[in-house]
Amino acid sequence: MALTEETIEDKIEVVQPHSMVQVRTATIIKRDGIEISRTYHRHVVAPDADITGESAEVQAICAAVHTQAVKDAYAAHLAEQETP
Amino acid sequence: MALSKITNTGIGTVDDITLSGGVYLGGTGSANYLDDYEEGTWTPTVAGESGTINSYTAISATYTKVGDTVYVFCRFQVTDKGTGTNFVVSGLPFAGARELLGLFSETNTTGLTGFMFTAGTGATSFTSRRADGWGNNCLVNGSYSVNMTYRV
Repeated sequence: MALTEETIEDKIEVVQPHSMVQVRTATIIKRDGIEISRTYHRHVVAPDADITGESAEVQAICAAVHTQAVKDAYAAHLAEQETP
Repeated sequence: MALSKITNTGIGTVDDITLSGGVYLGGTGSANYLDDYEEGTWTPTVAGESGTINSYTAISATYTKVGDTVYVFCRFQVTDKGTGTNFVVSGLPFAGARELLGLFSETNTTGLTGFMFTAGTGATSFTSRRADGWGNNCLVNGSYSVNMTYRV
């Protein structure tokens, strides 16, 4: 009986507004090649986020969708938020 | 749609059902349509709204998403609050929070309680406010539990 663990980014979504990049990381446990467990971990990459720790695929997507115009619009959105 | 482990005759017992689409519950309108359910973990990052928190530990953080509503829970321990005042927790599992209801409690030192709010649409973080006064400092060295619900 062989148990293996695999971690993959199984879902990467670009969500509007602000072109947020939502990343779902799946940890898959297999017994003799048959999946017996799958758990998820999520994070969101905002236009102003540091992406140096992201995977190459996420970095490429962020580079494509987080244009300067998107970054500027997001910064303006954050600035106009009011504190309750 | 896939059904697995049907036992006996008919569909008396079904262990798992896998749907490629959603399911209508209690009616056939769009308000009856459930198209998403997911459970998982996320990683909270804690910072001061102003000032700097020197040390904290994220203990656990989970989410459950049902349709367009996300339920999040997290626990963290602040061991050296430094110059931080209120705290901001980043790393929400889903963006696009439009509406939010959140509560936090400090569980092992002072019993502080208060509310959480986000920075509106597209938010990926939430900020604390004390129940006994919005302007009062929420931050002590202690263990915090946060329960929050928001829509995406």
